[in-house]
Amino acid sequence: MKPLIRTLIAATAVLGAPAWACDGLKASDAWIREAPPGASVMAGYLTLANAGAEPRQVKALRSAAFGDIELHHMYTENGQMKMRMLDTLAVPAHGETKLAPGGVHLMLFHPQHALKAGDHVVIDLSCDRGPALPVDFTVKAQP
Amino acid sequence: MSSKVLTAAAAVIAVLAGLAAASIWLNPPSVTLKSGTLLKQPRELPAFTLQGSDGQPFTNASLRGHWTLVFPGFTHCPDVCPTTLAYLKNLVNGLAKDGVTAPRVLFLSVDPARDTPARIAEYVHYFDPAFIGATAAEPALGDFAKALSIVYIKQPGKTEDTYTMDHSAALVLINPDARVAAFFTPPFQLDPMSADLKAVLGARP
Repeated sequence: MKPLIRTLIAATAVLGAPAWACDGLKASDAWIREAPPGASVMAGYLTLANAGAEPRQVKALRSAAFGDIELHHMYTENGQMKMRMLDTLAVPAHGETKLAPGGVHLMLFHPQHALKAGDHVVIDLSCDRGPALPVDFTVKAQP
Repeated sequence: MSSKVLTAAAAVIAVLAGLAAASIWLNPPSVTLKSGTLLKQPRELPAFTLQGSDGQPFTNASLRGHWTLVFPGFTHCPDVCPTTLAYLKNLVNGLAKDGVTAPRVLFLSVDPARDTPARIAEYVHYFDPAFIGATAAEPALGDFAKALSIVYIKQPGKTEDTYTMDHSAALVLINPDARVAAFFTPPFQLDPMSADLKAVLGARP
């Protein structure tokens, strides 16, 4: 977890590139936790591998299935559970970033319709370089 | 051995025996926990009334006669709250398989502005129909939380309705006399916590 936090802290500069897109990234194990009925927020997780020689920053996430998507980091500090929004998600050069329960996750606001285990949803990732990366997420009741 | 040495030895033994007896008398037996803290003296709760997820008032009487495990959270939390409730479901199932009556799981919402009792009921029943929930408006919520050493604070989000709640990570165990008996701290793991619960539930006369 610590190297990931260091990476996240290092990725603070917001790059003003005119085109958002994702060079070198490959997504795997993308899943969304099935939520209790009536939930207006769901959590998404995935693993991003970066085959490139430069670190890559995921800047924005969009999906027809959700009203809004944010990146959040859940952590425990002094016995308190806290969650903070992240502006970017950094994937180190020749490295990997893995989102998992209890840590960094996608906050998926306002599902456009109820999602059940087995459903599939596409979320587009926009980065600091390269074309947008559409990722297929599977809804699961548990990891 | 000389009689002087024997007398001295006897005196030392007598003092030690006296100290041991006093120690047992002053320190009631306690149980060491692998995954939390057991209070030597269970803590009494002040009189309180919350709204239960069944639509009924939830009071001190609601806690009597059985053990309760309180988890503070809020339904707009998509990651750690579902993860913890799913964990608690596994914990409860595991205890039942071992023939132990598991504590009743109480989801205490620290977000009464968005979490109505009906909303809480819908949420917890997704994990287990036997789970219950409760919440209250301030200051009743704060008073109850304080008595359980639970703290929480609102953190603004991008918009009015996307705020989050920071809240204590510990699970609070309440005994059948409606007193706080123990706290369990993360990381929550099934085996140590099951062992701890069996020890605590079993130790009580």
